[in-house]
Amino acid sequence: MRVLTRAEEILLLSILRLKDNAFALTILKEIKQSTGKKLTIGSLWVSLDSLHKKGYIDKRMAADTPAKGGRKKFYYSLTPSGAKALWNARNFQKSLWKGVERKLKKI
Amino acid sequence: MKHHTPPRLARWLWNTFCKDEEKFTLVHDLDEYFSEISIDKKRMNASFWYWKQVIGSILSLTKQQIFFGGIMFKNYLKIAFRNVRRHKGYSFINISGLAVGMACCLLILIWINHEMSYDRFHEHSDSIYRLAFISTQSVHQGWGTPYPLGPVIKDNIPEVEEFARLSPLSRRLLAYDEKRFFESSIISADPSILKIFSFSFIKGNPENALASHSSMVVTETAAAKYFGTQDPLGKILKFNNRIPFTVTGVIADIPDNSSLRFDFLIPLEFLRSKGAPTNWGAFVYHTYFLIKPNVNIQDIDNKIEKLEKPLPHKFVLHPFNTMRLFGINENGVIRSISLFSLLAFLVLLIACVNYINLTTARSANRAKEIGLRKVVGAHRKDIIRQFFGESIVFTIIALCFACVLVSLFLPAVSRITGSQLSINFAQHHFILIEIFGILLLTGIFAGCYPAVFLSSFHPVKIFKGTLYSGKRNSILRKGLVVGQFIVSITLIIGTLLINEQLRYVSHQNPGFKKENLIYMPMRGTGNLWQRYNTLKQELEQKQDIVKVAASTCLPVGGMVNEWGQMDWKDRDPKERIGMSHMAVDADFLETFKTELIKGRFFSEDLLSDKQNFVLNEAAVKATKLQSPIGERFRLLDKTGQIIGVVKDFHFDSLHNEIGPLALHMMPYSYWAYEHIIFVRIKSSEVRKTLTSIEKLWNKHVPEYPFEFHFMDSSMEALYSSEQQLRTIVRYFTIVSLFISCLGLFGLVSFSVEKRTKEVGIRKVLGASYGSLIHLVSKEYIGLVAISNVISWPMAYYFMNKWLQNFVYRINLSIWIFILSGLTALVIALLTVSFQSIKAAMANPVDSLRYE
Repeated sequence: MRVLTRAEEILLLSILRLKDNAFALTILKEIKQSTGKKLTIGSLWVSLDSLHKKGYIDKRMAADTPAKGGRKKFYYSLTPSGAKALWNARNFQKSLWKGVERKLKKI
Repeated sequence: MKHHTPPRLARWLWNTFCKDEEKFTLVHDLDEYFSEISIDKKRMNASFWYWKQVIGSILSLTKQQIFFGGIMFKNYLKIAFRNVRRHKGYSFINISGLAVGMACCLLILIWINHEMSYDRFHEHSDSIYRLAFISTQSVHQGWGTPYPLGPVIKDNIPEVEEFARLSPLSRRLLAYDEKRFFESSIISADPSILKIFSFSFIKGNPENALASHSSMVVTETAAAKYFGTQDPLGKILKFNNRIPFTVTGVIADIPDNSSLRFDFLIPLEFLRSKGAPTNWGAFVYHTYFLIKPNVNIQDIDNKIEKLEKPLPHKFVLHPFNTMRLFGINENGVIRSISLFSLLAFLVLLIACVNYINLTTARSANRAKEIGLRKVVGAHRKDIIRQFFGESIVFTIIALCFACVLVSLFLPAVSRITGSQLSINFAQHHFILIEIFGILLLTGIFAGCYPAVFLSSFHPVKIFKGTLYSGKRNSILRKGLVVGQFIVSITLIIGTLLINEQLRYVSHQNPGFKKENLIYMPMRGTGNLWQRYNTLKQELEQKQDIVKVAASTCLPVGGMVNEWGQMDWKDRDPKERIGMSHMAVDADFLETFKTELIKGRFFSEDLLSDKQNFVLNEAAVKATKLQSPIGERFRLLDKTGQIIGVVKDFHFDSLHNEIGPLALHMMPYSYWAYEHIIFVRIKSSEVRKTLTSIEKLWNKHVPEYPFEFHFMDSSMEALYSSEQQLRTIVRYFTIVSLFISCLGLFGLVSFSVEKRTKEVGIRKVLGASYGSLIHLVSKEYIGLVAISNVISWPMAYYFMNKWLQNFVYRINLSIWIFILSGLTALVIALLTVSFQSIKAAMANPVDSLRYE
């Protein structure tokens, strides 16, 4: 089974956290907030595109409310396989850390 | 709170980059982000942030494409270089053809750059204008303007910032101690000329350099010529051995790309004080204006037209920095520029055709490679990209050789075009871009058809072996060869015809004997004129001198024309006739060996002859006088009788018809433009004769250097632009023929290679050498024959048009066409026969033994 990379994980988690409001701008800000990484919009696009190709996320085009300018943008959401992959990543992480936390503290 | 807008360039870049269906949403996203960010950032920081986003995004979006593209690119390059190396012969043909073609283009480009750079070095070159007059009475127009017009325009039109009149002086003697030279690059001008034009001063102050009547500004070279290493400032140069001028300024030599050239600059005020015409009638000054920026020149032209002036003529302003290109009436260098760049382009085209032909002809060799690439998953566009890449590799290699060729031939081209050409990257920033442009253009043009054609191969057909090259393709190839030879043959015909016409021109009997006639200008030789009669007698005593005569101007182009002040019996006042006139002495007829048809020529013994006239046949025809002898005739201030008629002789170039000419008798001071002594010498020992003339000259006027010219070579100089054309067309002919033949050679050797076995079998079955050679070469010879048929009418059309420039011209004889066609045919035959004879001589055992 393929394990998500850390970058993919961060992206998927951000999208999950943003729920219905996940589009490029908010994702960028979310990532900046949670990890401190400043991405360019282009590199974000590349990563999102590869996640989309792998089937972890869905994207749909929608327009802003006229008040915000009525601009078209892509909204992203997790697919079931994306959710599953995140679960796997979490379990993998857990099993990886199992029983080593106390030993780590002693050092 | 303030909203900034994103930097426009970055926004545009981002917009064009995100053109595809989905990415355009990124533009919106980034805009939104920016508007949030920019609220609490300064404008500079926000812009900076935007730029960082855009560039970073583009990099990360293209990273993958570049990565994989790079791998394939390396492969393409490798294959291309292998191909160059494996097929050395074809590569040589392609590369040398392209190199020569590109070298031609580059050389012409360097020349064009040079021509375009003319007059741009002045600080205000965009605001300088030159006044031209257009006659409302005749078709005449020119740069000559009257003296009072400049000040009137400046005083009445506020947009005019400055004006300067100038008048070139031809051939004056300047002397400093023992150093004396005749100088013909003296200009006298208003002091404001130094404000309008930016000549860089090395010594002296441009503000007051021309303030005094006797001040003079000289160029560096001129200063070195007279003063050597001494400081030129304050030195005194004697003008015509009499008038002292003080050097008040030294300027750097005038750049080669300046249409205003001089070595010595003196104030116009000096000419005026010496009696130069200052009335409205003398159109002898060139007037330049400095116009305030952002002014519509049309408006100023209109204002000039409305000005009150005692002249009916129209005056218009011409921009100074395009004067060289367009001249006064679209007759500047732009014509040669367009012709020569067309020729260079055609030569490059011929080279590209070679590439196209050889690549498509040999496509079978590449078919397997293409098939395999396609099977493995290459798209058609990948194959296209590969072959474009290949053609560009060829072009780059060719460009390297082209650069070598350019540096080798640049001096020769400088000589032909008569300008100092150099590759100066600092001066012409664009040359690199232009070279790159030529590279890209050649690469794309040469690669275009092969790429599309080769990429269309169907992999299944390739591997089944049923791919045939197709008739369509070979017809195209033949068509292209025909095209190449059409250009070459047309050029050959052009060369031969220009040559013929120029030979005709120089062998044409001008109506007098131009050989063994030398002349010495007397202008600016002080009082030699008063001693002319003594000099003449002494000259005529010499054994090898036949006759000596004098006249007021040189009958080689540029005679003085009079339109108004003349009269004769029954003159139609409405008809306007331009009459050339020249004052001569009694021995003119004998010295020039022209024929007298009616009446008699002037005689020294008859005092009344000083008022009389001799006309030429054309003048008799123009004046419509039935029996001209004895009729009254008035020209300028002379009124007398017509005493004789001379046979028409050419006093202008053969471009123009022989015009009406009135001869009158010297001495004549009214129109004393030039005084010239003509000496008819015997043909033997010209050198000895010249030394003896020089001795006599030095005896009479030792303070003036002896200078002489041959009449026939001065007449040749009338056709210098045609001679330049001849040289350039000749070179282009050689080059285009060379490249076409290279291509032909390549095609023939390829087809011989393909037909080795056929030739072998035919030979075994008893075919003769002749029939084999015929077999291989007939196709190509046929093509050249077709080219002949097409190029003849084309060449006829163009050359006929060119010959229209001459009133006296050769007839377009069919022989020149046949000769050119035969030349092309023979050269093509030689090219083809080398390969076909090789094929026919080959031992059939070698070609058949592998079967």
